[in-house]
Amino acid sequence: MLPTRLSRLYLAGLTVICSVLATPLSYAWVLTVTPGTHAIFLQVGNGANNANFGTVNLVSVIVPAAAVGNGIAQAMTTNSTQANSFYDGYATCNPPAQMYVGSYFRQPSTTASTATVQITSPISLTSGTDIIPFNRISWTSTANGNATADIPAGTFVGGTQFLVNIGSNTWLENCHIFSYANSAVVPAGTFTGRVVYTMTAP
Amino acid sequence: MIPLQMMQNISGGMIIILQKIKFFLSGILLSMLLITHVQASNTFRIDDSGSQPIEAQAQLKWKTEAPRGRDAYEAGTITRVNIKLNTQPWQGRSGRIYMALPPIPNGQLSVAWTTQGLLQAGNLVSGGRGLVYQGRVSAATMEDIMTVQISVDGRLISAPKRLQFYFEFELN
Repeated sequence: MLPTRLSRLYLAGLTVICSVLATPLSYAWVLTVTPGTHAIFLQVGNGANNANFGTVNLVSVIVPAAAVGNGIAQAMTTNSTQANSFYDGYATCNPPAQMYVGSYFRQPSTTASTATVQITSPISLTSGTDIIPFNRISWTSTANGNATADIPAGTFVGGTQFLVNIGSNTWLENCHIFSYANSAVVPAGTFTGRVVYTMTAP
Repeated sequence: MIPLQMMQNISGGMIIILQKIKFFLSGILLSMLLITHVQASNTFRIDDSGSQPIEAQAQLKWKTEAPRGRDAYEAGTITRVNIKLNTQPWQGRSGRIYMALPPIPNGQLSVAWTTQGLLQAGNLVSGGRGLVYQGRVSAATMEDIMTVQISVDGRLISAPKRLQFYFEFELN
């Protein structure tokens, strides 16, 4: 142990220099950056880039009287005119045979997460009191330049069903081609029903 | 210089005085070693406590709203900062002034800035520094307004993050 007076001198030497060394680490201007926004986007048929769009497209088929219920599936067409993807402007779909479906989930995080797209359809299409079960309508999935069905094919179940998961910070798109099974004789009429696509994210 | 062995023959009072000097000098020596270690490149932190962002917060915006193409994850923001540097300690001397930003975890953040003329435009990446001035320091303070543009992989910033910029003076 150093004698008290010597310790004092020693510390004095240190103090002289440390006062020179004392770089004030608080010297800094501070900017707080806040994360980018979370976002989900779902487009079925015609849409607007990153914006709401009020149009509800129609998918339809007219079954010739002679073919009603003959078991031969009838291709449906859509009034959607959406061919190009908002992803890159590429002509992804071929309307009116194909209806564009695209979605993304934006999240400022490196932790992988998923958003989910579900479809809700009524039990039946109706024409007055006549009905056609909704599960007689199916779709296949493709896209120009990428035939892989990222948003899969399926059949409406007449209720709520899972369609696809969208990974965070990814964009999925496909073109759906609808068909009516035409597997039973039904009364003449215009049968309608609305399908709702819903996207949810954590 | 008097060898310490000879102290045996000198009076006790003299020995104590020399020991005091020895301890004081050893304190100086140790401190000089610290100086050599910390400031070997003649680089000094500048008092920029007068600097202030015009907006204290800046929200990152995705470069593309949708995750699209090669910029799918890029986010950025632009903000302005009033810069005021206390250059009095180096007034009349020549050197370079750098703006620096500590590293951020798991990635890099890019910063580019323009000025109104006293300081020069430049850029840096987190963990590095960028030149903002070189030459003779003629005034005790240097003031400018920087327009600062920040670019980062937006996935890396999932919560508000404080970026602590600072300035260094490097003597010629």
